[in-house]
Amino acid sequence: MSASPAVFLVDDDPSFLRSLTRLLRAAEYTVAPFASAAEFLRAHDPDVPGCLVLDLAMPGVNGLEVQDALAAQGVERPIVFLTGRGSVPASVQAMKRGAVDFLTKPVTESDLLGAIREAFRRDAEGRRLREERAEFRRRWDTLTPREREVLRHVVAGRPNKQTAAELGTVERTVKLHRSHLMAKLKVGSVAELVHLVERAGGVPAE
Amino acid sequence: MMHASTAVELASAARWGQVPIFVVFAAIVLFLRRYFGTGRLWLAAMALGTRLLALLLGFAFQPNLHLRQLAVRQIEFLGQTVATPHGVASPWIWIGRASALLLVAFVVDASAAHHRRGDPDARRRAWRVGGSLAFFVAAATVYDAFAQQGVIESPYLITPFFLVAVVAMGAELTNDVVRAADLSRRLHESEQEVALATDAAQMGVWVWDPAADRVWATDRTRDLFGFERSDELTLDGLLGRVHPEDLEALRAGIERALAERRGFQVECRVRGPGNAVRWLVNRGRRDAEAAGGGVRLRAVAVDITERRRAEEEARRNREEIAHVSRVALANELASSLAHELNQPLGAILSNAQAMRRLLARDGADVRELRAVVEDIIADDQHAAGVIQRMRELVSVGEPRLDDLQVADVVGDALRLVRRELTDRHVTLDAALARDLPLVHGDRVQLGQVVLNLLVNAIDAMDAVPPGDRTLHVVAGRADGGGVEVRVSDTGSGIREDVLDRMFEQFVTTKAHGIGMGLAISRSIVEAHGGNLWARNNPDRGASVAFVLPVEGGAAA
Repeated sequence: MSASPAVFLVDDDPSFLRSLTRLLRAAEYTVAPFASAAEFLRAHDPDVPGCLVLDLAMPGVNGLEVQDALAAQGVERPIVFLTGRGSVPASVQAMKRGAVDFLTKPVTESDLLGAIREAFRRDAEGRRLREERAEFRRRWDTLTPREREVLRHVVAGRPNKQTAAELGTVERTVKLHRSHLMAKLKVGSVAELVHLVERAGGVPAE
Repeated sequence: MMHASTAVELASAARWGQVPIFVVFAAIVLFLRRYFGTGRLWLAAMALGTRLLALLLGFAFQPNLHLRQLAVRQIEFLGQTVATPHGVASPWIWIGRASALLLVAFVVDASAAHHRRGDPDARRRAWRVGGSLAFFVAAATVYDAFAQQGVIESPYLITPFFLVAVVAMGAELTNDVVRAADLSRRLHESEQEVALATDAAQMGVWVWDPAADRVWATDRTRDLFGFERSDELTLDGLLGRVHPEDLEALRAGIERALAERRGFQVECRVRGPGNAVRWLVNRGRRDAEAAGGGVRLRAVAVDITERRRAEEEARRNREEIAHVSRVALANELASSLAHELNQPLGAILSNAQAMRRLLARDGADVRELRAVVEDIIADDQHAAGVIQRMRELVSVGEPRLDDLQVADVVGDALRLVRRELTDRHVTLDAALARDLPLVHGDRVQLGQVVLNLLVNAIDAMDAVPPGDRTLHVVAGRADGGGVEVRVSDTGSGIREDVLDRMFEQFVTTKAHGIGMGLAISRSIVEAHGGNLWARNNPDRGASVAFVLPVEGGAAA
């Protein structure tokens, strides 16, 4: 991982924003504070790892709308919501859309830091997964159409003989394709290959 | 004179005869001046002056001012032989005639002026008295001239003509005497009626004579102030029964009434018999100069204890309703207020925890620690402010009157609904003038009115899309003087049938409302001497506004 993770903090209350920034910095986090959702959306860099700590109720664009805006941009930044009151419908909505946690103000240090740790973990996990998928995709792009056909049959668990019959070729050719694609995808065994495809979310559609 | 036998005797008699004529002239002038109150003084002066001149000249001329070569002529008159002067008229005779003409002119002028006053009595009096006097003087003069020239055989006689005047005047004076008696009877009746009316209205009448420092008072007044019938009253004695807190106002009112010749009206408490405190209103004025030339202060005192008690009860009822309504408001805003409180509490907690971490390090930055502590203090004060406002909202306090800046009152109310605005996607557009004249009022109650209007306006926009919800709040000078606060929304407006009744109690369009807010708001504003109204905006939504009078200026 290149950069160290940062906590993006958005709250319209200046004194609350300042105190939380101070606490997180004292806890050795890198903090990027924003006084409004609009400001955050303008300045936000999705490539910086880390999480978003977001006030739910703000004038103008509120927390749920920020969540929607990020989702619309395809940004998968884990979000910890803060709220002044236990608003059940809003929290359900937020959690359904993948919020890490939903904390009620005044929030304790341990709850907040715990939620941030979890969010960081998810962010790192998500980034690793996305990286793996991207890598798989890069390798996938080097495969010939014939090799991709063979891969589908291998992952589906069909014997070479059946594959050859279905593709209208001989078993030897299928074996050759298989060794080529395993070399290109940098896997040593069929088991490894299946695992790779699973992590990548299946065989990409053509 | 009629029996004079020689010319000398006759001349002497004629000479002295001028004296009663002058007296009659003077009497006519004085009578008309007093009876009619009219007549030009210069005319009177000229008539009497020429008469006096004739009288004085009479002694200077021999044998007679009016006649040359006076002779005595004996004539038969009414079966008697009387002496009349006879001779050639001298030009001086016109002095006497001019005097008579001037007197006629004076009488006619005075009568005409009296006639012009217009009322039927004055007209009749002018015709009868003025007419008969003018006739008397003119007829006597003409008769005298005819007799002197021998046109008619008669001595100088003025009595018959005078009789006409006397009869006419007598009739008129008799009439006046009868009328005076009638007036006196009616005055007595009217006094009885006034006494009955003042008694029935439970009014006490009192009159102060400052020169003698004596107060005359009706029995009712004595009862009200707790004096015996026989007590001698002075103003200080009267004021001695007035509650010390009200004394200054009453004294000032009386002094102003005396100095500026105007009325006064002061409500005061009086410790009456049995130490019972009663409320009296004293209304009075400095009287027009009394007959003796002295100044009088006349006043009535009315017992308004019952009215004050009713007012006090109404006020207490209003307080209670206002309180219930405030509690309902606080209830409605409870979660907003809790949020408002969580904000500083959360900041304090985070700051304290941050400080704990900073202190755990080696070589903590003292400047940073100080900044943290400053923030904690500020947030604590902010939290205390929120709690104070919440407490005021639900408090049952006696109303307290202060000089208030309306923008502050509106600003405080806006802070209470800040969260509500955020949560319900309402955009705030506030224009609060900070340099308005102060209003005299109760901060909590006026804040409640504003809060009510704000909450209503926010509620009114629930049905419109979030992007269209704007709350306009304006505090500024009212057109007709005073200070105006206007709260407008962009909701769907007020239905016409509701618009008429919306200030009544228990009228509500809200599912959870108790229908008290606007009724109590209006009554609070009216108790502050202002007024409150609502109307639909020309484009969309509705506005509710109120105007309050300012210190030292009248409201609209």
